[in-house]
Formats: sequence, structure tokens, C-alpha cells
Amino acid sequence: MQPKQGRLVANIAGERRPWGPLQILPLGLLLATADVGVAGVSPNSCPALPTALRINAAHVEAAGFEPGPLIVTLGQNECELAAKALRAWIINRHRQLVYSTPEGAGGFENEGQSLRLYDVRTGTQKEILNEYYAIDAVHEVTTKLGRSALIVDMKDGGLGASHVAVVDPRKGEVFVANKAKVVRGDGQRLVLGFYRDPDWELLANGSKVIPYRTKTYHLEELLKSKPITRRTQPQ
Amino acid sequence: MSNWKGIVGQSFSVDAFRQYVDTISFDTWRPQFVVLHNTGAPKLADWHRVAGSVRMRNLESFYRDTQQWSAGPHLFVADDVIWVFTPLNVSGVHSPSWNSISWGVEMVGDYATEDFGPAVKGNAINALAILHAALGLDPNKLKLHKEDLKTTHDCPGKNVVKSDIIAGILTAMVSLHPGDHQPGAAASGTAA
Repeated sequence: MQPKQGRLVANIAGERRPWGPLQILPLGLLLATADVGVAGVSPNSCPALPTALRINAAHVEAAGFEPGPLIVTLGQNECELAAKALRAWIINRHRQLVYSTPEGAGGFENEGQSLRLYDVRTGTQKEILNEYYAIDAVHEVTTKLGRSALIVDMKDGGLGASHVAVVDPRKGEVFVANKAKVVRGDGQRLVLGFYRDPDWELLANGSKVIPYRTKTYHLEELLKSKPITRRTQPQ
Repeated sequence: MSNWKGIVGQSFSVDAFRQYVDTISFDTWRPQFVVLHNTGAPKLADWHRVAGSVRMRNLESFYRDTQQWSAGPHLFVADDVIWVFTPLNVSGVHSPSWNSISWGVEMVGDYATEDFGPAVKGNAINALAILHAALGLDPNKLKLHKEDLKTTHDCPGKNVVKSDIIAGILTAMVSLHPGDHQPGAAASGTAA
């Protein structure tokens, strides 16, 4: 995961994942570098209790691997929601936003990141994932019973493996699969492909590799799990 | 589950490290170049709060049990000694694109925020010189972890300057092996 220079506004649903188009809600991935916005003028901090009920836009003024301020537009007003963020995704019909920060649970060379959830209706935010890995992307899905789940793609910078977490926005991280990538998913099932260790270097160098096994998970069942808490490692 | 390759878990002074490397046979695996890292966490300022041998065990537990990797980096270079982690004659895990073809050398510290002082820098340069000399590797082919496009973070931090490290290795190789040809120099000259 290497943030690119320049302003990137990408729709997650339009990325490489073969998610069913009717199952995934449109998300905006908004990433920008320091040249975006008014040079030298920082927006005010966001109000404790916003009067606007919609997050219209968000961007992170990050450069390369360095975190930067997260600027959101609440109604018509821009404000700074966090001083150190890496990426942001608007979810839940523009009522919530999740963003990644560099403060995770340690990990290889301290690469671990966390994910925080902001709710414009209450003006509050909370940590919903704290991991050993860097966060690549967040996908929002709605289950058949109408519950929201976040599928989080993560990566490590040693083996180069991908890892997949499932987050219940109300409870936090409830599931994680190591050395796996999403094969496909919808509001009911999540299909993961698992790879052997040597496969990751082949994938990193552009080879096409087929997972040695796939496994299907039921999202409603995963959402019933207890939240995962990580101890900071290594010591 | 990966098959864990084991660790050496021993520390060496520069001279002892040179003698140790001389004893290793590279019949089954040899790297093509070295990738240089920094630990990020622990920082150098925190490193000595825990005994080095305990650090090695904690790192082994993290890579083997938590990450479920088959190995870790090869060296951890501190301000006092050089720790050998993954055996130098097997491939390690440290940089996504180059694990099968490179040695991974960790410098203890976070050199985005900490001063890259002479103790760690000196030990790192000497360790790197010994590694390059052992297998006849070209120091100019040294890579920083952050040059791997598949990594996730800025490693080593900005206070580590690659050209300074390479220059230091070249100088150290000359002093470690006086009388040998100048390492990294292209073959040149005319026949008499």
C-alpha cells in the first residue's frame, strides 16, 4: 500500500474486487496530497456536535507514507477531523466515515495501523480495529438481515501477505484471516483465497498465482463473534 | 502454518561477527544483495530496557507464532553488538519482493525520528562490509526496504542516507581486507 501522489478519488466498488454490484454500497476513497486545499490555511477543528447531518466529502493531506490531516466537509463547512490520518472512506449513506491512522498494534517494523469510525450524528469517534498490518482498503457491505459490515484489506511489508478483517461498526473487529485475499463476496457470504508463503513473492513480482484453497464464511455468523483485541507486539 | 527455520539468537562484536561469518557454508542458499531496514519499534531509546536475548525470543515468537512466517530478518544491529537472527545461509522474511534473493539487515531504531548515531551506524556499516566481502557482493546493489514497491511503510527512516551507507561499506571493506582490490570498482585499465 503506497499512497500515490496527487488527488485520487476512486470508487471502491469499481476496483478489482468482483463484489456483486447490488450488494455493495458505493464508497468514496478520497486521498489527496499536501498540494490540495488552501496552502498554509488549516481548517478549524470539527465541532463537538455538528449541525450538519451529512459528510459530503473527505480527504487526507498525506504525502507518501507520511500521515496528514483528515479534512471533512460537513454540510457546507470544511473542518479538520484528525491531525494524523492515512486514508478515509465515507460509509453508511454519508452519515459515518472510517479512517486509518499509523497507531496500530505494532507489527513488523511498527507498520500496524488502526481504523477509527466517526459518526456525524453524534460528533463522536471510536477505534474499531487495531492491527499488526497496514490497511489497504475498506469495503462496506450490508447483510441480508440489514446489518452493516466492513471488509478490511490489509497487508504486511515483510512477507508481503494480504490479510482480511471483518469489522462490525458497532462492536469492532470480529474476524481476521491471515495470508488471505478476498475472492468474492456479497451480503451473505465472504469467500477468501489462501496462499502459501512463497506465493507472496511471486504475486509481488507480478506473477499470477491461484490460491491453494478457498473457504466460504457467512457474514451474519462472523458478526456474532466477540471483538478482537490486539496486544502490542513485538516487545 | 509455515515451517519455522529457527534462529541463531547470538550476539557478536564486529570482530567476532567476521569470524562467525567465515565459518558459514553457503552451499544451499546465497543472496544476491542486502536489504537494509530499521526496526521502527522498538526504538533505539527503548532497546536496552529488555535484555537482547529476550528481545530475540520475543521477535521469534512474534514472527513464528503471530505472523506465522517461516523466518525473520537475518541481523539486528544494535549500538553495542550485532545479533544474528535468521541463519545467514537460509532465506529470511523481511521484504516482499526480495525475500528469496536477499539478506535482511535490521538496524535497531526509528530513524524517521531518532538520530542515526555513530554506534549503530558504525556497527551496521561493519556488518554490511563483512557480509558483502563474504560473498563478493557489490555494495552498490544495496537496497533500502522502502525501495521495495510492495512494502507498506517508510523504512528505514529519512535519517538513513543510502549513499553514505554505501560509501561507508566500501571504506570498511578496504580496511577489513587490506591489500585486496578495491570493492565495487569497475574493472579498467590497459594491458601492458
